[in-house]
Amino acid sequence: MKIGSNALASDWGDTPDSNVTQVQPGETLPQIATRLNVSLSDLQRANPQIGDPNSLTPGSNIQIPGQAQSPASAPAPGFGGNADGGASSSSKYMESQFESSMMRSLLSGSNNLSVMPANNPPPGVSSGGVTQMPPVADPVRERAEQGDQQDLKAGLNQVYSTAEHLGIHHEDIASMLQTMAGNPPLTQPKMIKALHLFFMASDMSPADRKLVDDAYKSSKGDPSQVEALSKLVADPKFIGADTQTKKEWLDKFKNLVNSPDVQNLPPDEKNIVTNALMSDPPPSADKISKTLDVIHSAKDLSPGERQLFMDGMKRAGGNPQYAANLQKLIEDPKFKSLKPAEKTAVLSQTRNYATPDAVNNIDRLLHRSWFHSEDLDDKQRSLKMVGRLSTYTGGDKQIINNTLDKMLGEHSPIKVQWKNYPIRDDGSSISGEMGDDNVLSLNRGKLPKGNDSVHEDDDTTDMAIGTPTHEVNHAMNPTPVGDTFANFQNEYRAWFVEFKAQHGRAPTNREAMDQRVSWQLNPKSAYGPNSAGMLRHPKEAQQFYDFLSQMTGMKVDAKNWKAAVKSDPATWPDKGQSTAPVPSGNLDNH
Amino acid sequence: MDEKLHQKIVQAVHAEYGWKTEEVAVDEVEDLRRPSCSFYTARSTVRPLSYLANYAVLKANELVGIGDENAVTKILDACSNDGSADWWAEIITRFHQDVGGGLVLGNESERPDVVRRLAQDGKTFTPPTLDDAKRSVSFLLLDAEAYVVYSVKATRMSSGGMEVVKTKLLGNPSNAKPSVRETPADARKKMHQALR
Repeated sequence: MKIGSNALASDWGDTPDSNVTQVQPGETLPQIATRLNVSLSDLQRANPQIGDPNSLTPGSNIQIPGQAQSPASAPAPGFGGNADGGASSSSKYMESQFESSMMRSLLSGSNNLSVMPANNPPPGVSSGGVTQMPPVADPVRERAEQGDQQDLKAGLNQVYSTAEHLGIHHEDIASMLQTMAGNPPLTQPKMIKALHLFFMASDMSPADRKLVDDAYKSSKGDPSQVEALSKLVADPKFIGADTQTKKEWLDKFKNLVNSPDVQNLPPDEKNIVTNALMSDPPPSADKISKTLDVIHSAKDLSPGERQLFMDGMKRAGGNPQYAANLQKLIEDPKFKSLKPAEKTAVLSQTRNYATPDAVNNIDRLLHRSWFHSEDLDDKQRSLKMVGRLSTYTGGDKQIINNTLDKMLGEHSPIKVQWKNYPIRDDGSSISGEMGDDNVLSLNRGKLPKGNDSVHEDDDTTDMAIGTPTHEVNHAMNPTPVGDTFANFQNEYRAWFVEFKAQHGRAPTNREAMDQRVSWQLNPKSAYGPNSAGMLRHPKEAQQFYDFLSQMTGMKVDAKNWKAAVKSDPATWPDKGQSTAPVPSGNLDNH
Repeated sequence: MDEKLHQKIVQAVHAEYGWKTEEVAVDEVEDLRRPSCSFYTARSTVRPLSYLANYAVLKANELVGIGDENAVTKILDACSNDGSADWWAEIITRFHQDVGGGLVLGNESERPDVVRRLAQDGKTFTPPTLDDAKRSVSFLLLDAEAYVVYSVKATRMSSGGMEVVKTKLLGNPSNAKPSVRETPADARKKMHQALR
């Protein structure tokens, strides 16, 4: 199956064409060979146009060896959003592929489509299900309906080939196609949601898959119902339930979703309520009323604000805790007291970061006096930083949550301010600092204003995740600046905690030496003068030598410490791969 | 350093960065000294900061810091004669607002870890290089806080200004994604997990 590998390749900045990859800034051909896990010679043979392998033009295409173009390797359609409401990068990629390749051909004009012969329907679909239509007398209408038929056939063929790519069981494919054929028109959302559902169910037992299939048939392919079914099928509680319980939940869902209370709702509200029904199973009637309560609580918002509110609810996929937190936020007097542009800024980030934690933390942010003293631009920066920190999943959640508590807690002494530094470049090494009176100053140039989300790259991750965790750690470990090992360790500790917050693990000895210790010792760094002073005091220096000995596995002293710092970690007993020395002090910003 | 100059720098740091005047230490960067210019760094004696503030004192005691958009031009005009490539690279790094600071990689022994990483990536270490016309300097710069290596080329324009091109050469290896291509089965498993 090529879909996944293409999707993953896209994370590397590859083009949608699976046979080529794009040169990233600063990348050489040997690096690309490593990235693609192919030999350099193969890569050179596949790209004879390249003269100097070390001088490539960023953005230019590189042919990947051993991947001939074929319809079989074409990316397949994708799926809807993930359980958190936001589409994963792979599903986003596949959705884009779906739109760009298959649906474009499907929707571009039925007259140009190659029509599958009536006696050759997709396997498992009776030709009658597709072609037996009531007789029509009106020739114009007849031509139009023939066009619809051709669209339907082409769409079914595309669903079939995609389902096969995805490894969906043949009996499920057949049932899916029958339901689609019996409930025209066949639209893109119907196709995506159905493929998603049966893909999610493909690991289930035959009996459970039959339940899912029955529920799908009952939904007649309605995209919002099928999306909700997918959510249920992916829920750990559903996965762990026995078949009888699953049946009861699915029957309950069917009854509730087809009730007038839901069917008579406007489409956007129906979508949210349907998703809420399936969130945190079992489905229940009070989920409908509670979700409608939340939706109705937004009645006082302006149309633009309400749209952001509804978009957030949709992205959260009916998560009841998100809905409850969002309702609490918009009913909060602190929110109501904001100016319209500020409300838009808040609701933009509750939409961009549509999780219960993010909304709760944004609500807490509204209660901080320093937030209210910021201008709109800085409010936008603070909001998106809190949203990004709240939803960051790549690191140590405990450190991140504790850091948020320190910035947002009711009684926390830490205040945040955004500051201009006299350097234009957003790649400036100055991200922020913990200053007098526990004021955390952050560099405006590193995080642009605006209502978008934080652009996710290394620089902004460093700014939004690394800097707050690092600087708050300083506040948690007040240590006098001076020519001491304690001061050296204070900086190392803050870096250690920042690293864990970003990566979810402690650094290795190699990472600690390369990324921190070398720099703290460098005379050109801000830490250099104090490090030099530390090394002039024998007692302080000895603590440092012991620290280096632990890191390198060498016996370090006054004579060899420089050589130890510059030695290749590959020559150390652990090759630099063991966990770096764990500093003393507060390591989780509690 | 005379007290008057010290106070001048302290006041400049206070104005640009907000540090308290009694909490500033000033050191001369002797390696950069030229007949008509001297260079200083200011650091906080009480706050754990990641950066130094750089200042140059030119002829007629003119104090120039990075807050001055024309700082580099003023310094080069005043004292670039016979300046080495290393000196140029330091001036660009410390005083050009678009470079943003960092460690100029002057020789291979300074940061052997970076040299090893360059080699692993098929790249070669090159020390700072000044072109024959003494208008353009190229060098490698380590943003040591982020552990990212840049290639920097700074060129004096005929108008007198500086054009700086800064290109990321090596990202932080701890941020790198796995380079192994996953099998379709791995990809499917990962997708399942992501969607759940």
